[in-house]
Parts: sequence; C-alpha cells; structure tokens
Amino acid sequence: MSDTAFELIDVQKVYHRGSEEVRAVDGLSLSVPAGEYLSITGPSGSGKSTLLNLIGCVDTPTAGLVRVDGLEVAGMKENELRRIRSKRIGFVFQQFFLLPTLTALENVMVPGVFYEGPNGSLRARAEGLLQTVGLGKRVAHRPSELSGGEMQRVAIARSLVNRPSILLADEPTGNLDIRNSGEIVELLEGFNAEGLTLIVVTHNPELAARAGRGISLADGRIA
Amino acid sequence: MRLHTLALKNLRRHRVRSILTVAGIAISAITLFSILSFNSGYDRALKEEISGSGIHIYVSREGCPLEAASLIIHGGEIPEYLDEGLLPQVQSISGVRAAGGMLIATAITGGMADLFYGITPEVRSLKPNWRLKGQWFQDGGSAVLGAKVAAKMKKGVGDTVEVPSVGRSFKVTGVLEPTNGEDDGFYYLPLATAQELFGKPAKLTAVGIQLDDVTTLAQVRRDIEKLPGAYVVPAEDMSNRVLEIVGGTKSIMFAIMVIVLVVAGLGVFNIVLMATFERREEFGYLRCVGAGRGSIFRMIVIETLALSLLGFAAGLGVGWAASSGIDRWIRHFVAYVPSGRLIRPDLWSVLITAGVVLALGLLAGLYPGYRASSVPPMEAIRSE
Repeated sequence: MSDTAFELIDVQKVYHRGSEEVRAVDGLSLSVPAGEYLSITGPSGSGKSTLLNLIGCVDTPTAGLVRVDGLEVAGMKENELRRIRSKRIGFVFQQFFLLPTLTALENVMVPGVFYEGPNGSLRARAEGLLQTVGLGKRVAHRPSELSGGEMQRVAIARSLVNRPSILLADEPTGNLDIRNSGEIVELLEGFNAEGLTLIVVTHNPELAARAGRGISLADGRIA
Repeated sequence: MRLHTLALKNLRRHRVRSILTVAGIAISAITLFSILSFNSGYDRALKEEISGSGIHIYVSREGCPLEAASLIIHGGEIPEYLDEGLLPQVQSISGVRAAGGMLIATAITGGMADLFYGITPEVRSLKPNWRLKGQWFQDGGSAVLGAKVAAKMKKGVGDTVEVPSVGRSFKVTGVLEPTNGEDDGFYYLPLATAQELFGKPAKLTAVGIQLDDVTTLAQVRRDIEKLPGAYVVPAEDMSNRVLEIVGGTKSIMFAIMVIVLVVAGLGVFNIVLMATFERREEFGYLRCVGAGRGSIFRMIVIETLALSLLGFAAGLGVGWAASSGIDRWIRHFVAYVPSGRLIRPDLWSVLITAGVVLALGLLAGLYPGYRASSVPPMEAIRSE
C-alpha cells in the first residue's frame, strides 16, 4: 500500500452540454496521505460529485494525473478501473442502496460477488463486520425490517467487506436523524482511527468540521 | 453468494409482477405444448384408426366418399344402402383377402341413441384390435356389447340385456374389451338380426375390404368399381384427404401460436425493461463496487431465463395435466376427429416447447440486459 492514498495533479474534467463546455473540475490538485480523514464541502455545482467520481475511479480526467494507491488511473480502461474500485475503494451512499430481497448479511456480501482473485471467507468477514457495526443479531433481517441508522450500518459494513484502503462516504448522514447521524459518524471515525483513509462529502458543516482536514470546492477548484 | 443468487432472489422483489410474468409465459408454453402435442397426436390417432380397422377399402353407396367413410368408421347411419348380393361378388375378386358386410343403425328412445352394428362373420377378421370376452353370436337372439355399453347397462357375459329402443332382449354372449374408440359404444348383432330389426332386408351400409397385398389396391379398386352401385373409398385416400382438410386447421393453430408467443415475448420484454429502468441507481451502485457490464448483463438474462423456466415448468405441468380436457375441447374445432387421443404429449413436444420458451426468454432479456449494463457507475453518485 502506498503512503499516499490518492493524488490529483492539475486535474481537469470537462463535459459538453450541447455546444456548451462545462469545466466540472478545473485544474485541481490534491494529495491525501493514507489514513487521513478529509471532508469535501461546497455548494451544488461546485464539482464535488465529479471529484468523487475521479477519486473513486468511476471516471477518468480529461487532463492531469490521478493516482490511487500509487496507481496512475488516467487512461485506464473500464475493466481496470473496475478492479481498483472492487479491491481498493469502499463506497457509502446517502441512499444506502441495499438490495431489498437480501438479508443484512447477504447485502454485506454483495461486493464480494464481483471481487476477482482470492478473497478469503466472504461470509465470515461479513458476519464479523456486522458484529463490528453492532448488528450481530440482525444478520438475517431484510432492509425493510431495519431502521435508517441500521441500514446505513449495513451499508458501511458492506463497503468494507473487500478490505479497501479508501472509504468514500457521499452524504453518509443525509437521510438520518441527529442521534443516528452521530453514531454513524463515530463508526466511520473508528475505522479511520484503525488506518482507513476516510473521505466524506457533505453539506453538513458540523460533520465537515470533525475531519482532520477539510476542503471546500467552488467552480471546480479548491476555494 | 454467487451472481445467480442475486438474480434469483431479485425475482421476489415484486412477487405479483413475477407471478404474472410467469403466468404469461406459462400460457404461451401451454399453447405451444398443446399444439405440438396435437400436431403429432392427430396424425397418429388418424393413422391408428385407419390401420386399426384393418380395412384397406370401404365400399358404400354413391355419395361423398369422405363423409361416407367417416360415417362408416364412426358408426354413422347412411341413408343409402348396398345390396347384400354385392358382398359375395366382392369376396370373389382376386386380391381380396377378406370382405365383411355391415349394417349400421340407430334407435332413439328417451332422448338417448342406441347404436347397432349388424355384421357378417368376416368383419371380425377386419378388426384386429377387437379382443372379446366370451363368444361371438350363438343365434339370432344373441348380442355382443361394446365396453361402454356393457358398463352403462351393467351387463356381462351370460346376462340378458333388454333394449327398450328396439323393444327386444338379447342374450349377451360376449363383451368387447375397451378399444378407446367408437366401437365401445355399439350393440353388435348378427347381420340378419339387424336387417330384420331395422327393416332393411338384404341391405348393407358398407362393405369393408382387406387386401392380400396393398400394392394391388388400384387393380382391386378398378374391379370393384365395375360392380353396379359400388362406390369405392380407399382408406389411405381417406386418411390423406382428412389430413389435407385438417391441415388448414393446423395452420390456423400455428398462426395463433405464433401470435401468442410474440405477445408473451413482448410482455416479458416490457416488464423486464421497465424493471431495469427502475433499478438504474442499483446498477450504478453495483458497477461502483466492481460489477462489470458483463455481470450486470448476465444478471438480467438469468432473471428472464429463470422467469421463462418457471413459466415453462408451470405451462408444461398444466398442459400435461389438462391434456385430456384440451383434447375434448379441441374436438369442437376440428373437421374430422379420429376416436383416439388427439393430444399426445411426447419428448419432442417437451423439448421444442422448452427450447422455444427459453429462447423467447433469452431474446426478451437481451435488450434490457444491454440497457442495464450500460448504466454508468456514476449513476449512484449524485451529490449535486
């Protein structure tokens, strides 16, 4: 594992909306050491999602360099990006994206279905993660039988099942009440304390303030 | 956990939708399976009926040969009669192994029709599928009962059966074992008894002829047609004419089958496509966590194939179980109906139905699978 979780150097991402050119990310440079807790804030249209896409290897830059865990991802084909996402990056979303017909345990195991290469005992690891997030007794429950906070705990366990080094959390508390938000943040911070690089994208200034470092975006640049 | 587990468990997400989709596929499977079973079953039933009679040529009075032959086979009464004197003339023609005379008559009482078959002894050798319990006629007052008649009248060998429609009693000397055909529904009488009973002295409805060698049929036919009043209907011609006429019905059935399959296929296609639109964010998420386009495509195809497999299994089960009922129902629409089973499920019907239904499911899943696999991973990331 590299000492630098990811690094962006003079990155640009340009979209075309009809004849209009949109610079979603415009000459952005950012280096995040392994194990850092970084928050990303900014108003709508500031480039947060595009930055998350680039860090999460779901998109490649128009120009500039993006290194994830020491790997240069610009110019990679989708299959190579997919392998990086599967093995090195965990995702937590505001909407949870739990599959309704699967139990909590099965949901946690989903990323393992797409993992290429030896992955150890997926079931045992999933059970262990559910224990860690406090849902050891809820493994057989379906999402409809869980509260919002419990669903997000399942989603966090799921994001870690392939043992990633970077966790990208996109508005992880956006759908939760204050009590559950606090518990989820503590959980994420606990994993960060164990060495996981934690990137949180949020509109919530209180959540952003808890990060070790925060950046704010405006017009595709760090403000 | 494997990819197919994800796909199969997803079918429980909208149970009613899945059940309705399976029902649609099952209906198309029932239609296909029944029509295929009918297609082969009808031909076999007809050939069995013709060959089972052991008769190569029928001779009747002039009229529509098809109608006459059909009536003779089914025991219909033809209002035109042959002179009995024709029978020895036919029997003496070279190449005729056996020729039997028959008089077919109906008597109605209380709204129920009793069917009578007056026969000469030669007719017994023309019916190789007849198995008799007891003996043939001892005298003019004896009768042999078809299996259904014996069951209906609750009479067996040695009993006396009273037949109100003709106001006579007969001693039952024999009972035919079930033939599963029209023959089960007759009272069999000596020809002379039937002629006397129905006021047709020295008359015959038809003469059935078995040849020494079927290749001499054309020559024998020419010889018979020289006899005055004789109208010849070769059994083979009758079989072919019937198949030609029924071919039209079969074409219509196949056209209906194609329509049903197209409608069912479009139904599955539509449902699966709508479902993939509803699941765009989910596919985006799966792409985020490492699912390739191929995996998403396979997942959708597995889902549609599973629905098709369930529909096929349900359709096959229902189609097979209901084949007797479908057999009875389909008889109303067919021009000429042989007495044997028309719907005869066989391995080929099963395999062809499975192949077509699964191919349909596969086709219906291809485009939705493509659309689902085209969802980019960023579909899940929408902070802005």
